[in-house]
Amino acid sequence: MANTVLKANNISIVFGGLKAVDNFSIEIKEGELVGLIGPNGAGKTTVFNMLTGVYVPTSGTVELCGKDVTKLNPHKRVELGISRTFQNIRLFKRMSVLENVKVSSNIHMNYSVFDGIFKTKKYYEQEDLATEEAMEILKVLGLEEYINEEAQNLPYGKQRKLEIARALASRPAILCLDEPAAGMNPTETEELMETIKIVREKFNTAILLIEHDMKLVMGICEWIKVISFGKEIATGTPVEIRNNKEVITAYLGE
Amino acid sequence: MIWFKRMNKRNLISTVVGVLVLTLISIFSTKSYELPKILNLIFIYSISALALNIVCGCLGEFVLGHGGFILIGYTTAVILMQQISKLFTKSMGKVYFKEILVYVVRGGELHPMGYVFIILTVIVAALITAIIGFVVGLIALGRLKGDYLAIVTLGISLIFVNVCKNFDSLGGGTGISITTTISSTPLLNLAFLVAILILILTFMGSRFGRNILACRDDNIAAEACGVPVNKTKVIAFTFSSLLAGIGGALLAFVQPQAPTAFGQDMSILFLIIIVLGGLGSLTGSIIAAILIVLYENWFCVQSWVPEFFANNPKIIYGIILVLIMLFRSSGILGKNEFTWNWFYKLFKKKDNKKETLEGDK
Ligand SMILES: Nc1ncnc2c1ncn2[C@@H]1O[C@H](COP(=O)(O)OP(=O)(O)O)[C@@H](O)[C@H]1O
Ligand SMILES: [Mg+2]
Repeated sequence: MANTVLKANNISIVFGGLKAVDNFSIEIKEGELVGLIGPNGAGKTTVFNMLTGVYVPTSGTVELCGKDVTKLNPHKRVELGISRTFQNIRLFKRMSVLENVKVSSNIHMNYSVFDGIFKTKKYYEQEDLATEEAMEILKVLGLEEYINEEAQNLPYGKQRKLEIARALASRPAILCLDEPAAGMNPTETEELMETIKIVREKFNTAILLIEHDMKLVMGICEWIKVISFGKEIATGTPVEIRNNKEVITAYLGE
Repeated sequence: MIWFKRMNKRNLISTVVGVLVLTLISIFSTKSYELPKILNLIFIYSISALALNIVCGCLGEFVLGHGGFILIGYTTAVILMQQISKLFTKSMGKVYFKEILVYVVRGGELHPMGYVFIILTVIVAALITAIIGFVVGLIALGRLKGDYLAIVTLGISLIFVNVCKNFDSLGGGTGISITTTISSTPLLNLAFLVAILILILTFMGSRFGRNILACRDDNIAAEACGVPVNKTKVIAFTFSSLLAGIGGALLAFVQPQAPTAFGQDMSILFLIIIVLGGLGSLTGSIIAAILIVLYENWFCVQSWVPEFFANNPKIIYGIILVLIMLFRSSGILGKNEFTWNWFYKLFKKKDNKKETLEGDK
């Protein structure tokens, strides 16, 4: 039996009277690739924000690798093994590609201010290790030729990949991708889905993938959860989801 | 000594040579009457500008009360000096205490003990300023979001200036002034500047600096990458206060009088300097500090300069700010740095460029 990495128990959140997410539950095991789909405005990003700690749910709990993290800050949750990308790209625009990735490596470093200022052996050991690891990740995502480029100068598709690279550097047990294919053309999208598969195997992480276009996730996800207007309407394998009447109605109504 | 192995030897040698040249200039400047004052101000203003740039440029938060922290460093140094001098004078007599710090026969030249005395005073003043900065940062950055830091620091600096105004021991209505006459040298101020520049460069190159830059570009993404955003901001602000305290304390040994308006004037002046040099560019701050000091202390006192400028030296700052915003909103260097690589490339093309003062990595 694989261990559970992420578990949400009946989480709900209310924004000024509007129940954006209503009693959402999910349980993801080690190494699974799970899809979370639903029409625009269904509440997918809001679910991510509760899982990663940007919002505290109005009710319900979130568990990460067996620990209750419902009220924990986002940066503390990263240390426990969750990381994410954003629907609207949020890179460190004026930092280099390599530095972007190394920001996430910081949680694995523990050298002191003294080590940093006097550049001790410890400083170099930890920084070199982080650089090596970052280079490896960047290679997998096909970004190794851009390492010294400022993030804002990358082409759009590469920026999306850099976000994934950055999320991987914290060595997550679960990686949450919020519409990673948004704004990409069909060829780029297909290539990205391949990359996601490779990433899961290489870095040994579970992946929760948000998409509003359901065809995309059908190909790679083991199972899928569908939400509409903040409520879960179906869970199942891609085949089950494709033939689910409620899902079809929700999408036709979009 | 891994850093030594890894460093580009040409750049290392260039830096050492640059610093040596500056050291010689600093030592021999004391033969002249005007030069030491200008050099002192250049070095000290550079330190204070670098301090502000850490928060405004590297962290990307706006600060309106930087002068308040400089004033805290200044006042602390003055009070320390007065108290220590009183203490020693009581036990061994005024003349003897002074003899420990300066060579009385050589017209008040600093004795090595005088250097030690100044350095210790500066360090204590800087630590006190850093503690106050830490508390302010905790309140302003840890609990409030948005542009509150600007307002809170403005408030703190107003409070401090007015407290000083109302307590005679802190200067009173006329501002604080030093009664003990020991003044520092360009050499000492240069040493502080070089040490601080190295300190900032190494700090910003560490994981702490990376966190600060990540917060500047995107708070939410930084938090999502495991950066403790609030803590990082408080660290950056405390670091900046520490350096502002050093700048203020050093100023106490070259400018024995701080007028009451000092705090506010300094806040504006250093904002102008870092905007002129380029937000986030450390070497830009230094270049801008040089320009401003030369303008105020050299240009404005020349006999051929129209009296209007001499009487209103600050009028040009308004013009500079507007011009920068209109034509080069990123400042002289933008976000770039002066580096030796850039410098030597320039050198290859044409030989007539003069060496810029500061050595980078
Ligand atoms: N911070 C917020 N304040 C108020 N309403 C919000 C907030 N965040 C999201 N919502 C609302 O929650 C609903 C779900 O949004 P979202 O999670 O972004 O949808 P999706 O990602 O599925 O497209 C939307 O109606 C949106 O307007
Ligand atoms: Mg969304």
